[in-house]
Amino acid sequence: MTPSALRRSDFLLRFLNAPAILLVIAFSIAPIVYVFYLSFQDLRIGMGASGFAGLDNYRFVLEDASVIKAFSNTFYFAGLSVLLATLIGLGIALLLHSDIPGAGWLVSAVVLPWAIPEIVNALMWQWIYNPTYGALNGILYSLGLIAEYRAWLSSPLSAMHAVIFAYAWKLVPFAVIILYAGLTAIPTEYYEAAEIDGAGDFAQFRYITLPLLAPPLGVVVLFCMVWSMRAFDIVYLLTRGGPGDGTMVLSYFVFGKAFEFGDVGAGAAVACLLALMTFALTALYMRALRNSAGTR
Amino acid sequence: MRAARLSLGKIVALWSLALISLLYLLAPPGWMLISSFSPATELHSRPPHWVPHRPTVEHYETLFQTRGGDARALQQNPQVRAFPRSFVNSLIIATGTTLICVIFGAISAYSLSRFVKRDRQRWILLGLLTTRMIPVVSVLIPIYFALQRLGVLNTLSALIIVYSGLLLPFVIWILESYYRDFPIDLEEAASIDGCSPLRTFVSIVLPLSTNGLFAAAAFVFISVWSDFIVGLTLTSSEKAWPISVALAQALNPITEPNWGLLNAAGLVAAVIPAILAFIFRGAVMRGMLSGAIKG
Repeated sequence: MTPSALRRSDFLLRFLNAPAILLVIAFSIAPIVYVFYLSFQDLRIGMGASGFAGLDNYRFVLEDASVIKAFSNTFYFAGLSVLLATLIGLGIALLLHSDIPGAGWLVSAVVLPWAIPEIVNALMWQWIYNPTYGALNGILYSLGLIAEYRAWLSSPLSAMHAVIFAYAWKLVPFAVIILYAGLTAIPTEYYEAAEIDGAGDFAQFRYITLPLLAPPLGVVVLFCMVWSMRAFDIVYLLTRGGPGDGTMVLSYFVFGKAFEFGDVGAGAAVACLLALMTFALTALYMRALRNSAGTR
Repeated sequence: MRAARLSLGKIVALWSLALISLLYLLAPPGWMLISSFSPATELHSRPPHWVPHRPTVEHYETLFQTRGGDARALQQNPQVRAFPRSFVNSLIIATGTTLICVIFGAISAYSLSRFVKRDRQRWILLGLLTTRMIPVVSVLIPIYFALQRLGVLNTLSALIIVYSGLLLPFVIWILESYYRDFPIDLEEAASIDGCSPLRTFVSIVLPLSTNGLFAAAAFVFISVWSDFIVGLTLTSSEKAWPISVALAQALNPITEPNWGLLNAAGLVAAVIPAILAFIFRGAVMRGMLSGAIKG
């Protein structure tokens, strides 16, 4: 029983760690450092310009109206997607938890949106929103809610909300699974006691379910926020950031700036800001997690 | 137990809500499925035929360029020609990445959980999680330039290496937590019997951790298969297009695309991850709960 014998690796096993370490450094760590370096360079493909630019890229980025617009679009897109996915997810999780007969069917259906690749999800909604043959137009037209077919992706405001609705659909499974697990973790005794005290359904939800569901709700909001701030596929396929810059979000902006316009320095600066925001969100969450663990 | 307290009225109300939820979750992919079996004329009527009067498999035949396919449809949507090839590309890329990630991820996760000091371990895990949170688009610019300099843009092997580097942090993170819960007694016994750590790992730990390894493999495969932005940035021709890029290219034409054909293509692209997610749904849910699988 010498655990110390297990504390030592041998040469061969240590050597076999090299590929993973090298790959992680090469493609996950070095690029972060290098993109940070690039954000201080004046690097434009085809312009021959290069050299140290100091804070010029950041100054340009923070003064440029299109970048400001991309920031506000990203926050609006992410905020509303998260809100929608969380509310729908909470509703479905509560349904699953209510033990209605036949809820098992719902569980199997819930995983489906998660399994569908994001680009297929985008294609699917592009078809649903189609201005001449789309199902959305077809349904609303049959119900008499619209007099003629509409191009949902052609005005900035309706395009933004159409993209949000499509993206939130894919986030719902994650919200349901996390929140459902949170609900099952609440001891039934609490509800039984409340019942005896004469608390109604709503009071039970408001004073037992909601407070005890706060930590899983935090997880859902954080992760969905982090994912929606980097959403790319859905914008690329549905609107390409348009019409105008109506749905231009940061990740698509970075892609366009660096790979389509060749302004690598400015693209790298926005990429760094985007990474920084994600990082700040995660750090905030870790801190909240540590605090709640400390008070327990 | 709680069901006993539900009144009939409540059950009916909850059922209708469940039905609406079911419709919300299933109707969009359901419509994709129906559209892929509908002839163009039925999709083009106003409103479209919700159930095709004359269902057809011609879109699938056109897609895979088998007999019965519509040669004219293929001519009008030349991008679709790349579809079978991109399907094979994605299979190769996803399989290669899965092998690399699971083999080397397991070795590193095991080493991390057994041979690294506690406080140092915590920092490494935090670092791995952080790299996972950083948006891919932020690291793609340097990766693009590195591959360009090496002259390996638009190759399958480069994609496999890049995906492996991007996904390994998460694989190590998830497998480390798996090995941490792994009973250490067996390894101690083996070590007393004179097994080297590597021998212990290969002949005792690995065979007993197939559950965790399969779950990690399914996760990697689905992630690579579903990725779009990495493939879009690092490939330039159908030679190396993964399936997601081929799909996006097929939607590109200025003329109205052939929607039956595109829906069939989308469905084929979704089938493999859907089957994997169904088989490994327990692992998928546990993975989500453990904190960070992409939603």
